[in-house]
Amino acid sequence: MPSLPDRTPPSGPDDPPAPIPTIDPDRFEDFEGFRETTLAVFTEPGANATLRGLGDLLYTMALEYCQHWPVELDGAFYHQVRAAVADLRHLEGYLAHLDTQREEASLSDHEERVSEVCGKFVPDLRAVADALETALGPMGATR
Amino acid sequence: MSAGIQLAAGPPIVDPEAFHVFHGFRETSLCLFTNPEHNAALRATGRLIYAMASEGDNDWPAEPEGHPRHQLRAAVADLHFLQGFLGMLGRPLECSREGHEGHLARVALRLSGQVAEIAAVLDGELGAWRGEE
Repeated sequence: MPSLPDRTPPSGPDDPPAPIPTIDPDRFEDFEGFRETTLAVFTEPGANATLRGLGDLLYTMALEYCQHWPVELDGAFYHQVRAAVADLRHLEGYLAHLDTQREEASLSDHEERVSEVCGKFVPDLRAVADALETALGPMGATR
Repeated sequence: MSAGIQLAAGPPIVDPEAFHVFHGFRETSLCLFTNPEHNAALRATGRLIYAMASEGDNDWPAEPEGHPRHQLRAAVADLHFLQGFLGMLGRPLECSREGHEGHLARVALRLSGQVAEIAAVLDGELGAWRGEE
C-alpha cells in the first residue's frame, strides 16, 4: 500500500482557534448545516471549515434533490415552523446547561455573571417556542 | 427510488433537558431530508461527529476567552440564525396570506423580534473581547 504524503499538521493548543461567526439574520441560509453550538467544539480551523463546508454542501444538494423525497405531512411551511420550534427547544436546553455551569464548573466572576444571564433567558426562549407551538397547533390539525 | 407512498420524516419534539441528544445538524437543515432513512442517517452522523470531538483528548486550539464564553458565543450565533429563519417564515408574502398560515407567519415574525432581543442582551453581556492580547 503506498504511503500517504506528509500533510500539514493541524493547529495546536497555542494556535488561534476557529472563530465563531457573527451571523447576519438576513443571511441565515449561509449558515445551514451544523449548529454553531456543535461547530464550537471544533476549534481546529481546518476541521471547523471542513465541517462547515460539508454542512453547506449537503444542504445545497438537498435543496436540489428533495423533490424526489416524501412530501411533508402538513406542507412545507408548517414543516419548517416545526423545525424552528425544535431548534428553539435545543437552544433553550443549551442555555439552561450554561446556567448550571456555575455549580458544575469553576468559573471566573465574569463567567458566573454571564452564566446567570443565560439562566435568566431560558424562560424567555421557552415562551418563544411555546408561542410558536401554540400557534402551530397539533400535528395533523394544520392540514 | 420512488417515495410516493413513503411517510415523510418530521422534525422531532426536542426535550430541552435532553438537548445534547440533538447536537449535530440544525433541525432547519434536517427537515429538508424527508426520507426517513436519509434523515436518520444524517442525524446519527451529526451526533457521532459531535460525540467523537467531545470525547477525544485532542490538541486543538484552546478557546482564548474560556469555555463558557465560547459556548455562549455559539448560542448567540444560533439565536441570530433562528432570528433570520423566523423572519423568513414571516416574510411579507407569507404574512399577507389569509387563514392559519398567514396567522402563523405573523406570529413567526413577531417572535423573530423577541429572539433578536434575547441575542442582543446576551451579546452585550459577552462584550467584544475575544481573548486577544
